[in-house]
Amino acid sequence: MKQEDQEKLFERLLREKAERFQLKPEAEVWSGIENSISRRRNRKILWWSAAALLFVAAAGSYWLAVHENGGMKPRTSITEERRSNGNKTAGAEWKNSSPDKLPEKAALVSPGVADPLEENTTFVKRNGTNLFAQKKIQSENEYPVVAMEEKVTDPVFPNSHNQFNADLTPLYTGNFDLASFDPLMISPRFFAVESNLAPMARLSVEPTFSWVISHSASKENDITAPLLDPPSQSAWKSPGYSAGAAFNYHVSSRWLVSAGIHTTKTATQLGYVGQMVQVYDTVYENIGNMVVPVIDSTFKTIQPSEQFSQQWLELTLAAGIEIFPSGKNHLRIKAGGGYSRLLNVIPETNSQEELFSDSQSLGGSGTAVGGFGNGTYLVFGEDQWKLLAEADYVREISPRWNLIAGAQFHYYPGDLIANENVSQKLFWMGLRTGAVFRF
Amino acid sequence: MSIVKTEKTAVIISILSDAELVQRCLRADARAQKQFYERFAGRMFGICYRYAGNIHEAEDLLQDGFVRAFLHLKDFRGEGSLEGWLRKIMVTTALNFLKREKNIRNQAGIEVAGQEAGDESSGLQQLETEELMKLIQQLSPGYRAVLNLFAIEGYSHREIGEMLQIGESTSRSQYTRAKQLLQKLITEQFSYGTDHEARRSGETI
Repeated sequence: MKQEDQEKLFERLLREKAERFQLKPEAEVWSGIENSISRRRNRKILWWSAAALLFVAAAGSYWLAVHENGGMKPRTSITEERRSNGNKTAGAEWKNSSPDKLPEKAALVSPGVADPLEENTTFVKRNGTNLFAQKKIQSENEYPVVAMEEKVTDPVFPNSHNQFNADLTPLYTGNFDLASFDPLMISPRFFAVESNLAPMARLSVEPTFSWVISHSASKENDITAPLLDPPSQSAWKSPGYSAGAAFNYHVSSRWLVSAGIHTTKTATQLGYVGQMVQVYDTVYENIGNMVVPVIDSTFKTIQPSEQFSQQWLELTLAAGIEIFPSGKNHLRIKAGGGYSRLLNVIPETNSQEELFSDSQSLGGSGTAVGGFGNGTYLVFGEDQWKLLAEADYVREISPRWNLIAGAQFHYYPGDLIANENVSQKLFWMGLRTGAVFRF
Repeated sequence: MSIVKTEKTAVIISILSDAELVQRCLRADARAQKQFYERFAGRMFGICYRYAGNIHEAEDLLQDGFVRAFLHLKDFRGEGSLEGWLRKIMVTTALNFLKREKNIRNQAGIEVAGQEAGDESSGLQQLETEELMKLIQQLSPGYRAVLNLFAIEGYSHREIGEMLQIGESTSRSQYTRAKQLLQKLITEQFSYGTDHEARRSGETI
């Protein structure tokens, strides 16, 4: 047989055998697929819920704003309204309605000519153009139109009627562990975009970048404790970033409510690769008739799969007050709560199963050290509640520019890591400073 | 009553066409998804096994491949066969894995010995499929990928070059070396098997 024919025959046989080849996978493969699909589905549901929440908040505040102003179009732009109505046949609606039946405010801000039925009508003129017809229902210096202007003026930015603001605010935050109180978190906030959806409401979208290092306290059964006797403090790093949006609704010139959503991703490593750690475990020995607990310890080396990323979705709700010590300065203080959900744990190097088995072997038997899955991952629990407080000082230096400086405090009352010997609660503080630009 | 109903539903699903099964999976019907998996898992696992270095890697690839398939099922337009589409996903998943592990260019540790190919077809004919797959697994990841893609999947060397980001000539030479090595392994296996049989026969006698 020719060499070429032999080659072809070899390839044909190879293909036939390969195509016939089948293997039955283990049942765990399907479980893994099912879990993965349902996790992704849950994540999708969460995102949609968060989007729906924001939409409802925005729509609700818009409705409230409209309702609050007696059915008028919200202030999005009084100036715009005046401008756009200026070219219309002046006062068509005005003519066809009795002024007594018209809502007072609407009548006062409607553009147009003098109402033929109303003798006491005057005009507000600007650049020689009639802008408003006003009824003389009050004394000259108490025109309701002035009150209207005041009411709809943004209390934070009283000199501006524009719709969008960009908040170019770097945010510096420090992370404090209750045990060590090390300020270790830096989070520069790049910018925020604010939009006046309604007279008193603002939407801010705030991409953030954060860097976190957390220190655990030295405790028994701390799997990341360096090889010292007694075990000293151990550490794991969590660098990461976050992005999100906050919706602020000003209920009045002083009070506001805020709803926010952001997602954070951090990469965590337990110690460093190759680090020798001592794993403590409690074993029970029979001595005579007594069962005596004995602390046993083994040595483990940190593996690459002990490095992983975590992704959270955080929802926050807060109420706030704004205080105006003087015309160009104000303080904004917010307090509230939030909910963090762990979306995903992504092993940096090896598979999810290897991460699981490594953390299990590091933890030793019976040592639960986390709040995820079977309680063997050193990560945030799947569900975490948090309390937050924020304070900002805003200084208006021009109608377009504001300087801002503030602080944030977030506290997670649940245990970050909890078992009988290991406990850590997270508390972080952020400091920020920057400028707000409106356009 | 409920058991009867469930059985009926199971029967209905089992005779579904690929298109109907896809439609049900798109509606996130869990039973249809399981049926989809069961219909193709065996063959797809065979494919993953050919590309993977061991059974555990093959299982990981199978899992990743199916998850990816379920996520992108909406993109299946029914232009070709569902199995062909799924097969492409498995192959892509395997190649991505090999690239990620940076194994694709790893050709070290293999000595082809530059021998001329003999008549290995007869050895191949007599070899059990599972034994052949184990021999393929002994090849380095790079050889394995090229051999699979060219000889079994039927891609051209130009296409393989694009997929693996290597030159066309590299793909060609890798394939030649992979084939020579496989032929050598088959010869060794076959002669070992023959010797072994002979020894066993001798012992019996």
